[in-house]
Amino acid sequence: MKKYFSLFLVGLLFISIVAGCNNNETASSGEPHPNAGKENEFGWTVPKYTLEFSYYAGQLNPKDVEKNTKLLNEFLLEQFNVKINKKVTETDPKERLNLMLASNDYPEVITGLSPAEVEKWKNQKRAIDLTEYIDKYAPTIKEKLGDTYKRYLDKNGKLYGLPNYWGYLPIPDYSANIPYAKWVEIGKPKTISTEEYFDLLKEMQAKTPVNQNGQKTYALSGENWKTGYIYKVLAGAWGLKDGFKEDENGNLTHWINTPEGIELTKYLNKFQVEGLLDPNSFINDFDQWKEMFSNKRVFGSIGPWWHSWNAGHEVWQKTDKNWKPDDHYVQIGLKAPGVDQAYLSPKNTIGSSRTIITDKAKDPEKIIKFLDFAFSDMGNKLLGWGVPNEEISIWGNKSGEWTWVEERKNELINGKYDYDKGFLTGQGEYAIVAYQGMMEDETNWWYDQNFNNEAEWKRDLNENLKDTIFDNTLKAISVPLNDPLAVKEEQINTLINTGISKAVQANSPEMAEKIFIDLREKVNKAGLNEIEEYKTKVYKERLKNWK
Amino acid sequence: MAQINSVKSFLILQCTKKAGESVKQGFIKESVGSKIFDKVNLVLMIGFASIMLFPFLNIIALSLNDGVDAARGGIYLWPREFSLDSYKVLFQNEDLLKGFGISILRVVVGTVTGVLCTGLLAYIVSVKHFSGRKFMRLLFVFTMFFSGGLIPTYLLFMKLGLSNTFTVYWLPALFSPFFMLLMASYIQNLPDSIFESARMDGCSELRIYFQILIPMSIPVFAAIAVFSAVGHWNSWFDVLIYNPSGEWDTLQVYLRRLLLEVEAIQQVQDLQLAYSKYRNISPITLRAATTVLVTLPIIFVYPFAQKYFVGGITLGSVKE
Amino acid sequence: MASLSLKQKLRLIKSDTGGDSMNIMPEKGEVVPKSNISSEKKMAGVKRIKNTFLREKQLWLICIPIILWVLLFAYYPMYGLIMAFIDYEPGRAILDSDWVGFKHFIEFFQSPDFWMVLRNTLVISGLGIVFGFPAPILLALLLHELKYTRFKKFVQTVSYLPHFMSWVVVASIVFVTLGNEGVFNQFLMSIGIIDRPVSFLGEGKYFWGVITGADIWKGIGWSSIIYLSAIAGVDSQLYEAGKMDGLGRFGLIWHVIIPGIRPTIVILMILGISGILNAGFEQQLLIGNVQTREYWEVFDTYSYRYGIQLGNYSYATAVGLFKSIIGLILLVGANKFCKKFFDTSVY
Repeated sequence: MKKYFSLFLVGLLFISIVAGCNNNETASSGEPHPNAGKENEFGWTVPKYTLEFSYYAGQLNPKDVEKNTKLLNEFLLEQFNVKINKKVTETDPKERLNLMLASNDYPEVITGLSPAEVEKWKNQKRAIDLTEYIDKYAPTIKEKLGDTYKRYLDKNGKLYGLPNYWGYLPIPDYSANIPYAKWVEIGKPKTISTEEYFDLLKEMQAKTPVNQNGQKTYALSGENWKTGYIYKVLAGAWGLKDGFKEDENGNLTHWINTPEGIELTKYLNKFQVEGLLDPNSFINDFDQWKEMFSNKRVFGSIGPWWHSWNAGHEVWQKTDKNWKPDDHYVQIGLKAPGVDQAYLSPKNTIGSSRTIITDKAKDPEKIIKFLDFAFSDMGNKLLGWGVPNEEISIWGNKSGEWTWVEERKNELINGKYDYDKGFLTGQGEYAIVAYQGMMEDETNWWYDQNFNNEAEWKRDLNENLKDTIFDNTLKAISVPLNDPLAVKEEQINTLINTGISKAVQANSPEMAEKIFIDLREKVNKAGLNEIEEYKTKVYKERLKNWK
Repeated sequence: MAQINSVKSFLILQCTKKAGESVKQGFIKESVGSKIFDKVNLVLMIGFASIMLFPFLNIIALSLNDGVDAARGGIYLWPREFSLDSYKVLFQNEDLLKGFGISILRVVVGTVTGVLCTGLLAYIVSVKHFSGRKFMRLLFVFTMFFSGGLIPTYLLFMKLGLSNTFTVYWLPALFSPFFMLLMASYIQNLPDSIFESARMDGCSELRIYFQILIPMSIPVFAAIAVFSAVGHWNSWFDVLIYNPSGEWDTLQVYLRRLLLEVEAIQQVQDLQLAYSKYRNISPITLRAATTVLVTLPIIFVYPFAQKYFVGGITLGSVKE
Repeated sequence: MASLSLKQKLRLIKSDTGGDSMNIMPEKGEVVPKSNISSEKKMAGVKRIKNTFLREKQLWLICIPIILWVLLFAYYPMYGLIMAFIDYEPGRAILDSDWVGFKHFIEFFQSPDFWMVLRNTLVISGLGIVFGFPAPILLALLLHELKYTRFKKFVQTVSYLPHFMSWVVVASIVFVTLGNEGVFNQFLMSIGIIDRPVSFLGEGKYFWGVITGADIWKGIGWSSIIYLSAIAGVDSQLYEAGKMDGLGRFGLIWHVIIPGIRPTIVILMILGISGILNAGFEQQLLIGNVQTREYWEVFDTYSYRYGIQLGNYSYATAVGLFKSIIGLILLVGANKFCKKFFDTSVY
C-alpha cells in the first residue's frame, strides 16, 4: 500500500521534471555585419555587431504580433543589423507592469507608460536619464522635438520618457452624421446647427417610422455614451474645448458648471421627450449599436466619424445587393446657435504615452541611436508603413527615393485594400516613438490616412471638419494616479455619467434641468472645484513654461 | 486476514449496489398523484432545458453565419447567410491543435492529481478519532478567506521556477479546501465501522483510502472530478499571468484573446489608434465559433461522469 | 436487514452523521486515571500525546507533505496582507514602505459610497442565498425524480451549458432578452401589458432582480451536480425501508433524500453565508451600466476601480482583508449554529 503512494509521488515528481524544462535564450550573433559602418538606403548606419533589445508594448495578441513582425524582423536584421524583440501580454498592462516592477524582471525598453508611471520608474531608479545620451547621440530627436523638447523634461530638467504617438495630426475625430442624400438636399453644408440637426432628424424619422424589417426607427442614437465622451463633444458644439471653458484670465471651468452644460443636456433631452432617442444609447456597446445602425434604424449619430463608416457603409456595401456608392453617411460639424466656432476634436500633440529605457539596457547609447533613426522621416515611414519593395508592400524605397505603390494606393482609395495582408509587412508594429503629425513631405504615420483628398467621401469629411480640430495640448492634463485627487476625479466622473444620463432621459425639460442642477451641486460638493483649480494651475504653468 | 476482510466488504458493496438499483426501479404501484407529478415534472424539465439550451444554439447559429452579415443582428436559431469561414479560419491555425493538446493534458493531470490528493485530505479530516482532524480542517478553511494576493503569489512562483512551465497548472491546485469540505460531507455519511474493522485487520490508511473509501465514494469523486476538470479546462487567467511566453497556451486562451481584444481597445486614448485597432478586430462570428470549439469537448465530461452518479451503496450489513 | 423499520434506519444514519459526539472513542475515554501529583499528570500528558501520535502515526505521516504544501502555497504568500497597512508601491520592498496603520481602512469606511456599496453587496448576496441557493437543490430533486433516463441525462448536461459561457456572452444574451428592444419587452407589448418598452437594464430598481436571475441561470446546473452526487450516495436500503413503511414519493424525498444530502446542503450553506461579501464582479461590470451603478457597485468592483485601476494596491488589499475578516467571523457563527442544530460543521 505504501507502494501506491510512492508510485504516486514518483509520478508527480516525474511530471514536474518533464514539465519543468525551461526554454533557452538564443545568444546574440558574434559575426560582424558585411555592411558594417556604411549608411543604408534609409539613412541608418549599420552597426558592426547586431543591436538587440526587447521592448514591452502593452496588451496585444502575441500570435498576431509574431505573425506580423516576422517579415520586418528579417528585414531589420539583414539591412539594419538590428534585432528587436517585441513583448506583449494579454492582461491589463498596468497590472503586468506592476508585476514586472515587483519581480525585477522587465525588458530594456518599455512603451505605453503614462507620465505619472514614468515618474514612478524614475523614482525607483529603474528608468534611466536620457538627457545626456540624447545630447550626444540623438541629433534628430532634438531637431524633431524642437521647442517642444522641454515639455518632456522633469522638474530637474532631465528627460526620462520619450513621446509615442505624438505630433499634430489634422484628421478629425468626432462629428455629426447624416445620410449623403440628405446632405446634398440641404446644400452640402460644412456645419449644421444643433436646432437644424434636430429638425432634420425628426423629419426623417417621421417619414420612415419603421425600417425595411418593420422595426421602429429613432432619430438619434449613440454608441457607448455611458463612457461620457458625448458630453465633451457636445460641449464642443457649444464652443467649449474638451469639456472646459476658459475665461480671459485662463481659469478653467468644467462644463457642468457652465450654462452651456444645461443647454446640451436639454438638447439631448429634447430627443428623449419626443421619443426620438434610441433608449439603448446609454447601455449598448459597439456590436449592439452596429446592429441598430446597419439595419437603418437610426438616422443621426454623434460620435467618432468612422462609426457611421464602419457600421454603415462597410456593411451595406457587402450585404445589400442594391447598394449604390452614394449610400453612405457624411460627417459634418455641429454648432449651437450663436456660437462662433465649434471645437469637436481635441488633439494632444505630446501624446499620452511615453517610452523609457530601463536599467536593464547594457548599452543605452546604441538603443538611443536606433530611436534617433526612428525619429527621422525615413525611420518613421519604415516603422509606420512596414517593409517596402515587397509584393504586399504599400511603398517602395530605392536608394533613398521612396514612392507609393500605385496599386495599393488605389485599393486604399477604393476601399478594396486588404488590411490583413498589409499587416504582414509589420505596419505600425514597432511604434516605439511614433510621430503621427505631418512629416516634411506631407505624409504621415497612418499609411491609410494619406490619400484623404483622393477618396471622395474622405475629402468631404476632412473639408467639413477641418475647422473643428484644435490643439489641446496645454489643457490635456490628467491628475497623477497617486494623487488623492485622482480618486475624487474618478468618483466625480462616475457621478456625472450616472447623473446626466438620468437628466437626458427625464420626461420633461423641467425635470431634466432639475436633475442637472442637483447633480451640479453634488459634484461640486464632491470636490469638482478642486479639480478645476488643479487643472487651471497646471494650465497656467504650462502657458508660462511651454510657450 | 486483512486481505480477506476488505475483499469481503468490497463484495458486499458490489452486491448491494445491484440490489439497490433494482429496488429503485421497481415501483410496484403508482398513485395518481405520483403520475400527475411525473407529467408536470416532464413539462417543467422540457421548459427548463430549452431556456438553458437556446442561447447556446444561438451561438452555434452565429458561428455558421457570414461575418459581415451577422453584424446586422437578428440571427436566432438558424444562420441567415450560411458560411463555414469562421471554422476555416480556426482550423487553419496550427497552434490551436497544440493548445487543444495542452488543455487535455492539463485536464487529465490536474484532475487526477487534484482529486486524488484532495480526496486523501478529505478522508483524513473525516477519520473520526483522528486528533489532527480539526486542526487540518481549520488549516485549510482559513485559506479560503485569506490569501496574499497576486503579487506575492507571482513572486513565489517565480522563485520556485514555476513560471512558463506546465507544473504551474496543477501543483498549486493539488488541494482545494472547498472540494475537501464537499467530499468530507459525503464521506461523513459513510459508516465508520467499516474503516474501523479494516484498521483492526491491519490495513494501512492509504490502503483504506484507495481500496475501500474511493470505491464507496464514487459519486462524489465523479462530481469533484467534473468540477475540477471543467475548472482546469476553463481557466485562463493563470495561463496569461504565469505563462506569458505562450509556450503552454491552452485552448481557452484562444477564446479569451478574442474577448480581451475588444476590452483592450476601450483603454486606448488616441482615437486614431483606436480606429486602426477596430479594423483588426475579429467579427462576432469568429468569437462565436471559437466559443463553440472551446466548449464542445468539455461538455462531454459530464455525461461521462453521470453514470457514476448511480449509487445506492449500502453497507448496513457490515454494521450489524 | 430489510426488516429494520425506517425509524431505526434513520437513527442509524444519524448516529453515523453525528460526528465526534456520538462516536465513542475508547482511546480518549480510557486515558490516564486522574492523579493528584502534578508531575505525574504532566508525564502522563506527554505520554498521552506520544501515544496518540504513535497510534495515528500513519495519518500524521500523510499530513506532513500536505501541511508543507499548504504552508508554501497558501500561507507563505500571506505576507502580502501587510500591504493593507502600508503605502505599497510595486517594486519597493514591503519593509521599506511607510507604515500607515489603518489609513486605507478608514479611507474606505469614510468614502461617500461605502454604505451604498455595502447595501448592494448584502442585497445581491442575500437574494443569491434566498433564491439562488435552493434552486440547484430543487433542480437536483426534480431531475432525480425524472423517469426517462435518457431525457434525464440530456437535461442534466444541458443544464450546465451556461456555466461555460463567459459573462461577456451572458451579458449580451441579457441585452437581447431584456434590453429596450429585447424579446421580453416585445412579448409584453404584444400581449398589451405595456405600451412603451420598460428599461429593465437602464433602471436601477430592476437591476437586483436581473442579476439574481442571471446568476441563477448561469449557475443552477453547475451547482446541482454536487447534490446529484450526494443523492446518489443515499443508502438504497433506506428507500426500501421507506417504501415498506408506506412512504409515498414525497415522503421518500422528505424523510430519506433530504436527510441524506443534508450534510452537503449545510456545508454549502455555511460557506454561502460566510461568503456574503463576495457578490460577484464580472457580471456587475458587464450587465451593469452607468445608469444602474447605484445598484450594482459591490465591494469587489469598488476595490478594483479605486484600488487596482488607480494603482493603489494597498487600498484594494485593505478592502479584501476587511471582507476576509467579516467572512471568517460569519463562518465561525454559522458553523456554531449548524453544529448545534444540524449536527454538521466545516471543522
